[in-house]
Amino acid sequence: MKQITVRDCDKNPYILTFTAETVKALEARGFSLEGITDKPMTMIPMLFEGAFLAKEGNKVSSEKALEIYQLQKDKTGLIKKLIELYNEPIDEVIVKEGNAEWESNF
Amino acid sequence: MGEQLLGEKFSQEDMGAGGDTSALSYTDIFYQCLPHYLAMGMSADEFWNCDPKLYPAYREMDRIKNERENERLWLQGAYVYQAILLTAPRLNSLKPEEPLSYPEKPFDLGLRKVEEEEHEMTDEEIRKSPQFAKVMEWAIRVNKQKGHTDG
Repeated sequence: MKQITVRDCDKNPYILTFTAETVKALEARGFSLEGITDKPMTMIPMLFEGAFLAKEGNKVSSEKALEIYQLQKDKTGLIKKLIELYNEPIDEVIVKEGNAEWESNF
Repeated sequence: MGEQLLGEKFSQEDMGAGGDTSALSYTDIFYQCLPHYLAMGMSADEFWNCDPKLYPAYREMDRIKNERENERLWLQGAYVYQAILLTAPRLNSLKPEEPLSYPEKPFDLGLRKVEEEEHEMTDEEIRKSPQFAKVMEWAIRVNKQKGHTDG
C-alpha cells in the first residue's frame, strides 16, 4: 500500500493513503482528477483531506488537514504523489496486462 | 456489425453531433469489478477497504484455483478413460470377455515418492539394510588386515 507521511507543527506523523472506499467517498463529494486543473483551489485541498480518511479519518478534522497542508513544502511534488496514491486502488483493481504483442519503428 | 467505426465517431464529435462523452468514474469501475472479486472470495468490506495490493493477489489465487480445478478434471477424465478401456473386452460383440478389474490404488501422481524420499531411516532400519551389512563386512576385513600388519 502506497503511503505518504506528513507531520503537523508538533511533529506528529499522519499517514496518507487511499482505498477504494475513500476514493468512492471523495467522488461522492464531487471530486474528480480532471477537476484539479479546472478547479485547483477546490480540488487540491479536497484530495489532501481525502487522503487522511483511510488511516486518520477519526482523528483529524478538515481544518486540521488544511493546516497540515499549509505546512508542507514542495506542494507540486506532494500533489503529484497524492495523485499517484489516489490512482493506486483503480490501478490494482483492473487487469492491466494483455497478451497481444505490439511493435514500433523507432 | 453495428459497431461505430472510430472515423465516424470522431467526425460526429467534431461536427457537434455528440458522441459518447460520459466517462466512467472510478466509483463506477469499482462497482463493475466488485462482483468479480466477490466471486473470487473477497468480502465486500475487504474490497472497499483493503490494501490495493490484495487485488492482484486475489486474481493470482483465482488463477491457481482454476488451474488446480482444471488438473482435477483432467485426472477425472483419465480415470473415466481407463475405466472404459478396462471394460472394453466386455463390449466386444464377437467375442465378449470378462472386463479387466479396476486398479486397486489411485494413480501415482509422484506424491508418494516424495514422501518416501523424505522418510529418514531409523537405526534399526539402517542395521537391517544390505548396505550396512556390506560396510560391516568391509570393516571387519580391514580390521583383520590391520591386526595382521600390527601384530
